[in-house]
Amino acid sequence: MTTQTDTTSPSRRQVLRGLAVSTGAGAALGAGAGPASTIIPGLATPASAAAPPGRVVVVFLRGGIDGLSAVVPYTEPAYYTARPGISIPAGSVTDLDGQFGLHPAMAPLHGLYTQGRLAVINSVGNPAMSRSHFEAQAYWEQGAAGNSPMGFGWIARHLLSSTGIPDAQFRAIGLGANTVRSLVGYQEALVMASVDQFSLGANDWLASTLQTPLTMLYSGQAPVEATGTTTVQALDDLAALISGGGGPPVYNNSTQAFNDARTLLGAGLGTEIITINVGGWDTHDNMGDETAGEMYDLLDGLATNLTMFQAGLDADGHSDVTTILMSEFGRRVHENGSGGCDHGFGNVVVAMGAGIAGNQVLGSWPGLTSLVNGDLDVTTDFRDVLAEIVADRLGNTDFASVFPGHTVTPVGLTL
Amino acid sequence: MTDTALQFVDAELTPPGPIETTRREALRLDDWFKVGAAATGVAVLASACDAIGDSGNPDMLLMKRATYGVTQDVIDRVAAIGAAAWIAEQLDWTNLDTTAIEAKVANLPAIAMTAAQLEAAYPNNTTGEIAGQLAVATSMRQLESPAQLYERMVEFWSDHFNVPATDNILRYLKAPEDREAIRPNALGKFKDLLVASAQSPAMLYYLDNAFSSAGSINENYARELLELHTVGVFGGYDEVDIVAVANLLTGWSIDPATGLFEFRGAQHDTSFQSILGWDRPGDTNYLDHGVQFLQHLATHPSTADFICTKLIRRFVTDQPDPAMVADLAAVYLANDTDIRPVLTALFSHATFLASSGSKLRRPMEYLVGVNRQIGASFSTITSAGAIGPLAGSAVQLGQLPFQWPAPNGYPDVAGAWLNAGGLLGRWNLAADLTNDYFPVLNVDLTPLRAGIGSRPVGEQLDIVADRLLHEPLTDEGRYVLCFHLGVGVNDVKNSTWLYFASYPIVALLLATADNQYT
Repeated sequence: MTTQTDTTSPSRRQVLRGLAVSTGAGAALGAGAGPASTIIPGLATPASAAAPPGRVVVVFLRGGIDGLSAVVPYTEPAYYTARPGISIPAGSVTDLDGQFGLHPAMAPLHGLYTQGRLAVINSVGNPAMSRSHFEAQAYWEQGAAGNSPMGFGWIARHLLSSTGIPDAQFRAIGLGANTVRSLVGYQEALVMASVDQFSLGANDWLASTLQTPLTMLYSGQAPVEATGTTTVQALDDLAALISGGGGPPVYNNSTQAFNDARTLLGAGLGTEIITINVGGWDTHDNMGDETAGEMYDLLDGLATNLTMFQAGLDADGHSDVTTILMSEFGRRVHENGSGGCDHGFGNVVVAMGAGIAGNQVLGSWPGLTSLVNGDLDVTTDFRDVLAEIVADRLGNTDFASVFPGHTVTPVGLTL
Repeated sequence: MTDTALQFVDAELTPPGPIETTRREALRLDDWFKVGAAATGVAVLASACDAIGDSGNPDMLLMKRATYGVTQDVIDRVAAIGAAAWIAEQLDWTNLDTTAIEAKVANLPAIAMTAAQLEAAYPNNTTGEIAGQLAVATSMRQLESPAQLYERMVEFWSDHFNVPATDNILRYLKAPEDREAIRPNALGKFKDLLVASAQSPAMLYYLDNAFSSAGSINENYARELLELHTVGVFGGYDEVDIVAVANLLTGWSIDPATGLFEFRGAQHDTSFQSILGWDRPGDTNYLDHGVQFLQHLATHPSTADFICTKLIRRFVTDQPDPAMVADLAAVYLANDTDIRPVLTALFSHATFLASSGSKLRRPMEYLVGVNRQIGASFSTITSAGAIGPLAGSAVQLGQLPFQWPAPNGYPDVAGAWLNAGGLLGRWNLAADLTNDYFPVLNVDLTPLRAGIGSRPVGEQLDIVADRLLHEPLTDEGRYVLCFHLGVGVNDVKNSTWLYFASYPIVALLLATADNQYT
């Protein structure tokens, strides 16, 4: 890190936090624990300075994964009646609990399940029950209804109401070209498409000579300047991580993000939360069957990446990492006219790794004979799932800040 | 990686960008130069630094927002005929001389082909050649066409009616859609554009309406038509309306032999529908009923609000003011959905005129913009393969054209783009472009440094900044450049020194925080 940023880093962080909330965004923050901050009116001082017990990787499956294909209710005749062309035969699933079974392409995850390290929760969703990708994703990522303060993300609100790992360089990292909504409001998040691309002057020598003047040009408190400061810090902090090729095998175009997450979790940056996007789940047509097709390929890629990721974390000795997968909504129980499914409501959530009460199928199953507008009902509010992760893996019980307006109900996902 | 992830970053529901409007104010809060002690060196620079100042040209904001980048030609034209006449001239785009740029684009053979011709010319199209040519043609026009506002509107509608050219079929359909549906209607009436989009094979395929038939519907297009293309998610429809729209548009499909729009009467649901104030007539002109409904949607007040909100978000601010939306929506409805008077009203609106410096350039706006600022042009190319490193830059910036997978189009707000990875991509691009790294771009710094040797460095910097950005350096900006170059502002340097110094000078000017905004 350069000297000029070193000398000002602590105050910059304080000032940024002040800026972020001074525009009114913090009004709903910190109704809970701790005395009011003297720096930031309205934001509670984090109740505890203890380091979080674990770290979390949040995987958002964009487009609305068909949970009924991933975790199949293979004992229900209604499932097969509703989906004559795309259902997954009972004989092909890997049984979980006598009622639900994994899609054949998800079978690689079964080992983690039986080891007690992976659990699924059925019929999770948000109470708005929107079938809009964009509205539903906003709800999930904000952890609150659409008009929450300034659209802050739930991860941002967690970070702003807790202290994190001492001396953390980057508490939160978003892997992807765009900043996801769950991180909006936490300006110090490091967001980037990939570790290997994160260098100045990889193409041409001129850029590599400009880091110092760029640091000067971007020193300041405006959002763009703060981002510039983060960028310069990350150039220094990530330089040793750039592999220049090699590394773990790449299975599909989502693998690199998981490999990057593994690298970053081992880099000593104090990172407690990483976000990853996996796309392609908006399967309105030609989903295929249990042996081949779009859904098979999507699930095969996901299960392979997750299995490799967990094995990599195990090999590295990162026994404190929990991975949670979510999507904006499930899909319609009945298949549509094109061998796919339109947008639905309730969906499955999968969690694996540290602190997960695995080897069980959680959530109240409403069944497929009493549908809500053709969709699986929602019996578990997604915020109850996230709240357990925030409390038990990240050590933050200030639910009033993280999920404003929501009363948390236990789910039993964590140990 | 996440290029293919459905990001669905959205700007409709709540304003996601944190505190963007306070950027300038924040700068003023802690002006290091006024706080003083410049002589103590780098340490004082840790607070705010504003490198580029105000040109004093009252039309600079208009020129920045209505083009992809201000050039001396634009400045001269606006000065000659005035801002109002220049907007009118830009809106009357068919009378602008685009012969040269279209001749250049014509070297890319895929751009003029029909879907059937594309399939014949590029069988087993898995290399992205067609999509690549379309991306190049688009960037070429944005960079070099005199019809700048027109090209900005083409991009606006390409986002609004987003169809990615990522699928093996869509690659054959997207380029014809761009040519036949989007470009002819980009500066016309929205209702015509809406019908053209609804009947474009690319959209019919992408959102599955081509596969929706009576008794066996697919809701995908119907939902996005209402949510993303017309009335918006809060526009007053419900799930019953979505099914009704899907039924009404059954049979709107694609002729597999030609790749053109085809109405399949046998697959069409002729039942009565009543949707958002429109009732299906009793006649048997079934195809026309769908067209009538789309035209009704285009003139719906919720559509007026939604389209105008998006125009304001693109051209004015991430957080549109409801009063300005209402003003523009009234113009939209009074002019039968004609976008031209709406833009005239937008660019003369008081809220627009007060919005300087508040809008982050999107990645491709920045990429094309710095090319315009530096005076670059495309070399003559005949295939997409030649663009390699430039496409790599677009990928690092996160906005390779026609690759956004979700139907809402690339994000329009700073909150989605202002992050470390994106900013680093811009810094690399600024330097790489300056150093002539991209084989397909002609870059020559000579005009920027010509005739100003043997002067004090401060004067040289001011002149280069004026030629490049058409805005003055501030004391702070001058200080940082001199610090980097290891010279004092009053040192007299010759043209040989300036030759070498011009590279970091130009790269840094393009990379400044100020140049990320308009």
